[in-house]
Amino acid sequence: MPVLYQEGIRQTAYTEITTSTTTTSTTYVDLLSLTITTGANSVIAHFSASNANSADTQWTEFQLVLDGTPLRGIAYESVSSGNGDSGSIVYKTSVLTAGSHTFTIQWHIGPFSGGNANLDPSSSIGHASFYLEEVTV
Amino acid sequence: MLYLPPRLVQTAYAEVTSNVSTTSATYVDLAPLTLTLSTIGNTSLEVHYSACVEAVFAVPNIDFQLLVGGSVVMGATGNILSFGNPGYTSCPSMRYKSGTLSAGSYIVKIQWRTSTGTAQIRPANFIYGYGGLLVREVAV
Repeated sequence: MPVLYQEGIRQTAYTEITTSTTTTSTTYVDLLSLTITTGANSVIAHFSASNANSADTQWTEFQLVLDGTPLRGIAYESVSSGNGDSGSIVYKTSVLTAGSHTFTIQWHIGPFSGGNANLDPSSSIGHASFYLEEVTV
Repeated sequence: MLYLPPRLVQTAYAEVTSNVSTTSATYVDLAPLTLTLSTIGNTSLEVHYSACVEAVFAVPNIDFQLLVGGSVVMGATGNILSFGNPGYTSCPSMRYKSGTLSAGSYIVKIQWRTSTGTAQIRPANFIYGYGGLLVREVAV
């Protein structure tokens, strides 16, 4: 007998940092980006990261951007150089207009402590991953 | 043709949209983050919770717990390393999947407490003043 599952997830997209990536920028710069073509549906975005900072009491900020508009963000602090921290975002959009949409993760370090933030997936603590799912429910 | 329920049956999402704070040393509801789902049965609930929390002139542990159907199923803590403004935040998160549930109404909520001082989430002030709760009912 043929079996038909009703649609709940239309598509998924995924990207991650694969090489050591560093920023010294104190203003937002792009880190990860995904462009998907959707129907008139919502998209759930999942982002997580863990990175080290080279300066004491340095913090790292990330923000989720949809088609150029910042939506939500996270920030965390390392207490001393070489230490790191981690954070994540989960966010569900309202129903989007059908068409192409670009989701971007941007990041920067705080303006006062100097140094850099480093995402190194070859280390035991470093990662940044970004996952999208277009959902009809 | 045999029609089966969708593997992703429904999703529900709530987030902190205005500034919230607590000085409670015992768990209290993080009020915006409560969702009620009516499930079709023989399904599970997946919960995804992320937040970025600040402290006011204190270095507390800020604890969160996840309740499903009135029972605590999981917890997470964020330790504030130093105080000041801005940037002294912690970003705890939780991911949870229930066992198979019978059909019915289930309340999923986040509670929080602070070991000292005031814990706050301030979306009106910072883009990283953030707390999001996503629940998915799944048939797989």
